[in-house]
Amino acid sequence: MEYHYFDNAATTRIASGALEAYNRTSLDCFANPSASHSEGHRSAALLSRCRQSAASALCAQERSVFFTSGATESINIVMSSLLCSKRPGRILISAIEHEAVAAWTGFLREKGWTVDTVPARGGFISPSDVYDMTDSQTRLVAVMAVNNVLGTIQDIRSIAEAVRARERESGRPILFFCDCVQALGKTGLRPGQLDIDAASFSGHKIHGPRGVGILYLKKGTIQVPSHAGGQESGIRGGTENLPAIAALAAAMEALDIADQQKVTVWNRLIRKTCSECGIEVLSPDRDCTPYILSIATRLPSEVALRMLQDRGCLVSAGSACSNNARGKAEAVYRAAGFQKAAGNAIRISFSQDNTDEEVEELAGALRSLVS
Amino acid sequence: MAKKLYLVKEGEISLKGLNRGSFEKRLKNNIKDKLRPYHSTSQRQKGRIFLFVDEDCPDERIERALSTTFGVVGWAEAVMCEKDPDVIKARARALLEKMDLSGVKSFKVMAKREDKSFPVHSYDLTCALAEVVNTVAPGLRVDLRNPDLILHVEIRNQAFIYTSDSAGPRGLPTGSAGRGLLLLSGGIDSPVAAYEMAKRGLKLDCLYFHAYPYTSDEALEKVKTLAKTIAPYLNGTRLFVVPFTEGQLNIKARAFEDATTLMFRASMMQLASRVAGCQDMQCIVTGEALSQVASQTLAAMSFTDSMADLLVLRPLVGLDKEEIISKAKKIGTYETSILPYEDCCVIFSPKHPITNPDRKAMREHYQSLGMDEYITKALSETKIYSYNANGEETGVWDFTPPSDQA
Repeated sequence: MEYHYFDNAATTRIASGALEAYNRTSLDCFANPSASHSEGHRSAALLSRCRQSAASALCAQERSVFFTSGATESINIVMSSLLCSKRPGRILISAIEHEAVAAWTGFLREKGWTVDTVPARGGFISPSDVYDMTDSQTRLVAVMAVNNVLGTIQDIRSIAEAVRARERESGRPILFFCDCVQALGKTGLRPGQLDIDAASFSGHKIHGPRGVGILYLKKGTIQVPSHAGGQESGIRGGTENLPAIAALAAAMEALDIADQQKVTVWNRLIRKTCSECGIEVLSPDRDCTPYILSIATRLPSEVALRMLQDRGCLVSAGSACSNNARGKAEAVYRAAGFQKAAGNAIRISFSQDNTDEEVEELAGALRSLVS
Repeated sequence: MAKKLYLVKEGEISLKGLNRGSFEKRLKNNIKDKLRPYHSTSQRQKGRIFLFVDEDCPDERIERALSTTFGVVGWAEAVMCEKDPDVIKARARALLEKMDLSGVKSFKVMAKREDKSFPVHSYDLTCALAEVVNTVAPGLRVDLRNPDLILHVEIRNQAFIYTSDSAGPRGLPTGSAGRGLLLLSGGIDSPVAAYEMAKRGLKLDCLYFHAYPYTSDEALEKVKTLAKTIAPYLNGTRLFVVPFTEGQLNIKARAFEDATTLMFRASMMQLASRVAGCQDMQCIVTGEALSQVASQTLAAMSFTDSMADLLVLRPLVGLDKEEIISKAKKIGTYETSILPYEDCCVIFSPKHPITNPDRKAMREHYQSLGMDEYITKALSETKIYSYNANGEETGVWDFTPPSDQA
């Protein structure tokens, strides 16, 4: 059966240009960039070009761009830097952070850190809440730019200002970390243009390959437990995954914000379909990326998912049916205030690969859920 | 081909009277089923089965067969030799020398003389063999109560020598007590119920109600894994998968909300009775335990019982959850049962189910739902998966309901 893929916030199909870059690099530029021979130099030059290209896409300096194995590793580098502190302090994270960030809280608490959570009413983080909840002990604030479940776009500029204001008052630096995995390609967010200290990016969410991502570090440095290997200025050791890096750079170059217009049309069509057939739309109308749309039918998430799948449309379940394996997204819905709908939520996420016909099919499938 | 010899002890069977032969034959065949394609032969002798298995059959396979076959109380790999005291001593010595005796500090010899014409008395034979043990492993202490090693010698038509003795699952050979139909959910209880009834000799097939898309295909896979896991204990089984979504939707649409679970249980009993009726099965087995959930109160079970056309057995009725869990862990179904794929969607579970139903009123309510039509349709779409005594899937085919068989 042919499927219409609407789970692009989970992962995307690799773009042909990225795949081509991957193959080309694997075959023609496979030498280790650290090697002293001429082919090694050629690889190093390609790595440098990829860094330039990624830096320009992020409006950042090259020395701020570090290639990693993906967003989770980028996040892990930032969070583990806290463990290099002389003594534990406080961190502040949003209530709707991705699991990759949220999962650190238990461990940090064990190590003596205090973890505070900023509420996310309706899926939004208020800069004034961030200001109020930060103090002189706060070492890190983590707020994601675009939520992966609801699609809400945070006012990162104002949140950064709130953090800086507190920083000035206390005279102690606060690392402001912004998980930008869903922001890349879906918004015009450029970390270099904002007062962000660190940010994470992923290749496979933007039609690049898996196993590659970016860590943006404004100052180009961070304390890390190990400098083994010395690659990526000692921030991320291990032989660089050059084919994937080249493919990521190609995918980033191919990102076209103009795609957003057609995605916006699709998003409106599905919203309209939902309102016509009594399906609740959870993603807010404003300050929300059109690429991600969370809705809640009257059926449990997984049941709706299977019914849509039987009609050829693949979406993501907002919650798992069973009590002992609640979906990770369910926590986000609850934190955003959708307690009632959480068990029935499904997430539709578009990409440039979708077509008008596919979205029509999806609308039809949604209608059939309530008929 | 050379053979390995195993001595299998039967327990309760040896107490049987004139029909003892049929139990023993059943046990023998059940063991042989599991050893196929390896060839095995057996001899029965007063409470013992001597099992000769092709030498190339892996030990694990034989151990698995004997440890999952009901009717086996204990078993051991044995040596058979001629009834001559010197030969016995020599073979015992060879057997002990092959063993790893590090860590063994005490021993005991148990000699049994089934053949009373054998000239050496059991006590004397015991003493002679104790000397052999002392020669092979000097310094071992005799401990009659709690020895680390027991050397057994049994004098029958031949002499049999064996050391360790592994415990079998006991019970009666599966198939010796008739046939039944197990209502298998994906939960912890029903596989344990199957184990308990098979232990008393019941041959069981399983029935699962699948409500796709309200329950997932993973839930069905989980049930198949459970059927596969219990198949060795059941000496092979069949899994009837009944697509019952329409029936459940009808109940949800037409039944009183608080009675939906009971109506579903009633239709399960009715459907199971129809399957059992055409498959020569004499009972339905469930994993219900008294008052575990709303549909398992005395009144609720009494109502569902009344909806079945044949005997309903609930072997776990008096057990609490912890006891059931420990049994599930023992038989290896627990880890599968706790996988998070629900066998019943929340939309079919009422918030406040009836716990004390009036049997007559409930029966009348059930009659008003017109479930027969849904049951007939579900039966016509039922699939059967079969598993052999080693838990391997051997096929899948369509079920032919009774009305179509004529």
